[in-house]
Formats: sequence, structure tokens, C-alpha cells
Amino acid sequence: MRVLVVDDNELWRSSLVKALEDRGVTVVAEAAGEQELHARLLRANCSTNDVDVAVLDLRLPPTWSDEGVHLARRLRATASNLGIIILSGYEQDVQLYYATRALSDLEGDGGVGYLTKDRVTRVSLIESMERVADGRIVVDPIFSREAVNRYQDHHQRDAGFSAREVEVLDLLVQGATNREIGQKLHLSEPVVERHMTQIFQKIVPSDADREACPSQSRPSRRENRRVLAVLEWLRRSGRMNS
Amino acid sequence: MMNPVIAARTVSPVVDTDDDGRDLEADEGFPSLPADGRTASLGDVTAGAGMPVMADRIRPWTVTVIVVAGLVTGALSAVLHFPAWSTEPVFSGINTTVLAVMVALGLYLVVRQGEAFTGYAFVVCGLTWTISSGMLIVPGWGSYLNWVLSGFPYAAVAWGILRYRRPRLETRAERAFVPSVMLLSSGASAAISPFVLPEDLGYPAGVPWPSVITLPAPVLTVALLLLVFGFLFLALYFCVISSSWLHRAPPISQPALRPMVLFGGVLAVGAAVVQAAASLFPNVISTHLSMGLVGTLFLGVTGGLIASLTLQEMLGTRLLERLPAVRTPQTITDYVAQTLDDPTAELLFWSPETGSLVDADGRRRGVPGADGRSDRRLHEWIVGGDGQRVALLSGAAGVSSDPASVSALVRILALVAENAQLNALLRMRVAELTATRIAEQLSFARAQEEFQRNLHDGLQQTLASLRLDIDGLGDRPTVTNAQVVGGLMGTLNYALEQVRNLKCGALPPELNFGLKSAVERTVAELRLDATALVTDADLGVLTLPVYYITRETLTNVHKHANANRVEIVINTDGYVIDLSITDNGDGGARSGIGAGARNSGLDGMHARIVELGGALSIESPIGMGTTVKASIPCVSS
Repeated sequence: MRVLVVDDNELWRSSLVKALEDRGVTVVAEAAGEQELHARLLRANCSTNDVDVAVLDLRLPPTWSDEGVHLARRLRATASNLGIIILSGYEQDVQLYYATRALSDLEGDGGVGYLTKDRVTRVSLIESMERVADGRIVVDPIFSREAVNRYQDHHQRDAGFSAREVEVLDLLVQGATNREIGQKLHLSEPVVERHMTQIFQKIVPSDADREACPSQSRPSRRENRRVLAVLEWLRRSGRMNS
Repeated sequence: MMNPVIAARTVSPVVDTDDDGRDLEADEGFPSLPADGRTASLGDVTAGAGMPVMADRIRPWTVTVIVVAGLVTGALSAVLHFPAWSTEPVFSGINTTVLAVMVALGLYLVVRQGEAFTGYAFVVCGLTWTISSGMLIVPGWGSYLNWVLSGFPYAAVAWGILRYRRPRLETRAERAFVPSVMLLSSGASAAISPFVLPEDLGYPAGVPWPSVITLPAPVLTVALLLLVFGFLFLALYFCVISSSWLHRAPPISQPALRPMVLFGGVLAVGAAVVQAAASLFPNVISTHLSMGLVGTLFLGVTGGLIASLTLQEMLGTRLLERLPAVRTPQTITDYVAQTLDDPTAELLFWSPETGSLVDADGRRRGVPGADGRSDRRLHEWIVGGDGQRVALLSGAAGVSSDPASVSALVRILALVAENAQLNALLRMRVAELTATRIAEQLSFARAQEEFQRNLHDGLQQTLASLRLDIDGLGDRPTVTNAQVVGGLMGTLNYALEQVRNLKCGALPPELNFGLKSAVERTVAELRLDATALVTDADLGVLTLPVYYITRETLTNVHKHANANRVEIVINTDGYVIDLSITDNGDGGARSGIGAGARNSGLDGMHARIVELGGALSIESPIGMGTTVKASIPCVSS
């Protein structure tokens, strides 16, 4: 697997690159910013089309706000199959906003991931990268936990998720298909589907509301829609300030 | 009256409590206090609206001379008219009354109103009119003298009316009027008299008259017609110049001038008609009748003058009645603008602590027109009970031609200015506190942002990388323990150092070297090609908000505008800070402020500027670049 790494924190970047290379991933180019990245790619005589996944920091100079998402959009413009993983330090409040944007704004067919730096392990990172390279959507499970907590806070725990449903949610945001979920939880596929319906009924009140939601109106892939439903529900429940 | 607390407050290094406070801060460009600017007590307000303004100049001996002259001419007139008293009491009575009333009114104007010119003119009019009419009684040359003197009273009264309550005649037409009257009235009369017989004009036959020839009837008619048209022309002339003067007069003076001008016009037209009738139809209107009628018209003018004087005396009452019921600085300023019918007129309040002026909204202001860019303006201090300045009345220069009305207004304003001053000073204080609060908020927000960045982009990432390294220990069996521990210790030490350096600073460190260098630094950070003209003036507590707005705008330019050229101008005149940031980018920035997540920075900026009492405007036509302009009133602190 061939990847790019863009992060302005040298220490983290070197750890990350080392970790990836230890696991046999080829880091085609690593850079602190967009300009440097293009210079490195040019020097390595390599185009973004030859890369499977770009691992980008959310916050990059000069304003350290959301340059990573912008950079991802520009990279996708030249290579529509490029998988994008936004890696960020976890910060409450702003994170969901950027996660939703990263997941819903990007054009092209490549996979998208949104993970937090302090929760990835070498194993989970490589696994996520493979999924993204495969065109799937991966989101840190912390978002699904948050969705659950938030929902329960709002509904005084009277209509909470069952433990089983939380497990399904966790796998859902990690980009798992219904079959994979079923295998992991030792359930049959129809059972998984029933859980899924339950979750969506709790998360998304009605189809009409779903129609009205802009990020849902765009035709997107099935997995994408499933993850977005979680995020959308978070947004509606007021967790995310947009 | 001197409140010790207030006195102690006003004795500050800036306000020099000199004995009359006249020479205060001449160098700061503030108008000086009036010489008699002590106190306006309640009782004065209505009584003294027309107080002597020029009366000081009238010496007692002048009055004596006038009184003596008046008595002498009165006696003369009575003697002149005496023979006629038995035969024509009405004629003689009217003309003697004209003398008495006009002289009395004239003297009143001179002595009490300080209207020296108009007063003397009325006295002269009364004298010449009575002499001229009295001459009719004198046998012989009397009729001829009456004929020749006829222009003098008109000229005098016209001059008196036109000069009423103003220092000089303004237009050429006005200055030409009196010579025209003299020329057409006395001059033409004198010129035509050798060619007519007294009986042609309705005078008794056989009196000595400088006739050299009797004109044939048609020529005489033509000559008289010309004279009649001359009179009518003069009447029209007077009406035009007096009404145009009335329209030019400051609105506050107009009501008091109107009766005077009106009756002047009635006199002009009436006298012209009477004279025309007397000249053309001597058999119908006798000379005595015509003189009696014109005398009545002169009395009418004195009536008009009295009406004008009364209205002027009542100005104070009128202004008092129109005072707004709710007296905030703003309503009082509106009242001033309405009363003077001058939108630029306003009341600025004196702030003794800062030695500056404050407007109704509590914003610091300079003396209007003091920059020399505009015309001269009216400036009158309103003085408080303790003799200290309270407020400055500022208006267009025109109204200063009517000092009596201005002083009436100043007296009224003195009643309400001190309360309003407190209100305005309070607003200023609130503006200051608001600015301080916003600066503190921004400062706190910046510090928090800085802290969060140090935490998340620094320490958190160091720890994350440490975690990743530890996670990978199993991947590298060949590395020795010492190497592993050394690497981890290095990272841990680095993390500890980051913890030590975490601080919650107060001011953004870039402002330590001033706004200018901070803006330049921001420009460099964002890699913009920009020219920055930033004032060196100390903006005080507003430095941080201005910097915040500039930074926010430049960040927007960097993120969204796609511009390759930016111009930044931050300037201040000491009263308002003007900020202008122009780029040559895509334009199309959302100008409707208040919606959408994308420009929440812009909304915050807008809210803060509004809170600071300022205004924000964004012009951003698509493809034409964006101009962001903000103006924020300075606060003194």
C-alpha cells in the first residue's frame, strides 16, 4: 500500500511514518504542508494517482483551522480514487463538524476516514487504511459512543439503546458491512438488519426529516449513508455546533 | 450654588478654573467661554430674550442728545401743526402722533434693544415726516419743501427696517435701495417741480414755487405717470428685497422678523398707491388727506415693529414650551436641530475628566468645523451653575447673525444641559466599559485558543506519538532496551517541557510591539501580498478589538477570497477609528450578515463592532474583490 502523510507536527509524523513503514506500508511522501507535499511528490517523480491513501492532519498552517479538509478536496480533484484519512487530535465540539464535512463534502469515489490520533493503534490504523483504500468509510468509534450518550441524555434514558445495538453502531461507523457485523457479533444477517432498523428509527425520527437534511439528499453510497446517519443524528441532537 | 462635590470634580488639571474661565484651552481648539457666561437663572429665561446686545456701546450723552433733539423737534412739529389744529385736527393729530410714536420707539430701540441703527432711523423718519407734513401748513415755500423732503422719511424707515437686527446690509440690491428712494422720491420731485405749478399737485394756488414753465397737460400727465410708476417700482423693489431677506434669515429669527417686514411692505405699497392717487387725481385726494393716510401707514409700521419686538421677547417662552418632555441627550440634540432648522446643529457635552467633548451617544468628538475643512460655525458654551462649561451648542454659522435668539436658546438649554451631560458622560463610560469588556473577552478567547492549540497540537500529539511508538515496540525485535528507553525518555521529556510551557497568557504576544507590527506579522503568516498603512496612534483598549477584526478579515481573505493583492488601512482622527481592507479576489462574500456556519467569524466580528457602537460594511461584487470597512468610535480611557 502506498500512502502520503501530511502533518505539521514533526514528532507525530515521524512516529507515524515509522509505524507505517514497520508494517510494510510505503510512505511515498511526507510533508508539513501542501506546498512541501507537492515538492516532495515532484522530487519522488510520483503523482497522486499512484497513491492509495493520503493521511492528512486536520489542522495545518497557516490558520490551523481546517486546512486538512481543503487539502483533501484539492487532492481528490486530481485523483478521484484517492482514499483520504483525516487524522486529528480529539477536540470536543468542533470535531463532529469537521468529520461531517470531510465525509459529505468530498467528491470522487475514494474512501474516507476520520480518526483521532490519540486512539489509533498501528493495527487499527493499517486496518482502517485498507478499508479506506478499498473505498469504504471509516469513523472512529468514539463518535458512535457519543451518539448513544447524547441520545440517552436527551431522552432521560427511557428509550436507550440496548448493549447489542451499541455494539452494532460501533461496527457500523468502522465501515463494516451487515455481513461483517453479523460475523463479528455471531448474529445472522437478518438479525443485524433488524437491529439496524431499530437504530435508525431511534436516530432518524422520520423519512421526511431525512429528506430535508442536505447531507442526505445527495446520492451517496450505502455505507456512507449509514455513517452519515449517525453523524446527522448527532448534529440534530445538538451535539455538534454548526 | 457652588456644590463642593461638583467643584472638586471640575477642578482638574485640564480644566483651569480661572476667574472667568475665558482663556481655557485656547490651544486645544475649543471655543472660549462667554465673558458673561456665569449663570442663567430660571427667571431670566423668558424676560431677557432680547437683552441688550449692543446697548453697551450707547453712551449716556447720546441718549441725552436724542432726548433733547426729540423734545425740540416735537415742540417744533407741534408749533408747525398748531395753525392746522383748528381746521384739520385729524391730519395734524396723525402726523404729530407719528412723530411721538416713532421717536419714542426709536429711542426704546436704541436704549433698551441695542438696535442703534434702526432706532435712529425711526427717529429720523418721525422727524422728517412731521417736518415735511408740517411744512404744508407753512405758507409760501412750505409746500415746495414738503414736496422735496418727501423721500427722506421713506428712505429712513426702509433703511431702519432692512437693518433691523443685523449688522449690515448684505446684498447689492439692499444697499442700492435707499439711494434709489432718495433719487426717485426727493430727486425726481425736486427735478420736476420747476416745471409744474403747485395747483397742478393739489397745493394751494399762488404759493411761491420755483416754476419756470407750466408744462402742457399731456406732458405733465406723462411726467406724473412716470413718477407714479417710480413709486410703484420702489414699493415692489422693497417687497422683493425684504422678503428675500426674511427667507435667508435663520429659521429661529424668522417669526420675530415677519410682522416688521410685512408692515414695511404694506407701507411701501400703500404709500405708492396713495401718492399715485394724490398725484393723478388731486381733486379727489387732497394733499392733506394723502399725508394723513401715509402717516397712518407709518403708524402701521411702528405697530409691526412692536409686534416683532413682542415676538422676540416671547421667544424664550416659545422655546421653553417646545422643550421635549423626555430630556435625554438625544432628544435635546434633536430639539436643537429642530429649533435651528439645521440638521448639523447639535449639543455636545463637556467631559471634564477627559477635557473633551462627547456627543449624545457618548462618543468622543472634536469641535465641529474646527478642522478648517468646513465653514465657520456657531459655537456657544452652555455654562452650568458653578460657572463651568457643560455643553457646547454648535450650529451652522448663519444663526450667529441673530445673537439675541441664540442667547435665548442658550438660556433654555442651560436648564436641561447639566442633567443631559451626566447622561452623556454615563454613556461614554458605558462605551468605555463595553470596549474594555470586549477587549478582555477577546484577550481571553485568544489566550484560550492559544492554550488549546498548545495542548492539542503540542502536548496531545507528543503523547499520541509516544503511544504509537510504544504500540510498535513489538514490531522491532532487533532494537535494544536501552535504545527503546532512550527514545521514549526523549519524547517524555519533550512532553514535560511542553507542559511547563503551557500558559494562559493575557495579551496575544504579537501585540507587544504594537498594532502595526502585529498586522504585518499576520500578513506574513498568512502569506498575503499586502500593503498595510497602520496608524501609530495608541488606540488604547480598542487595540485588541481592531487587531482581532483585522486578523479575522485577513484570515477570511486567505481562506476564501483567492486574492493576490490586499490593502489594509487603519487610521484614526482621535475620535473614530477607520479600518479598511480591500482585496482583488473573487468577491461574492456574503454581505447579508447573520446566517450560516461558514461565516460565523464574520458574524462575531459584526456583533462586536455593533457592540462597540461602530459600523461594518462589506462590499463584495462577484469577481470584483471585496472591501470590508469598519468604523469604531474611540473611547477615552
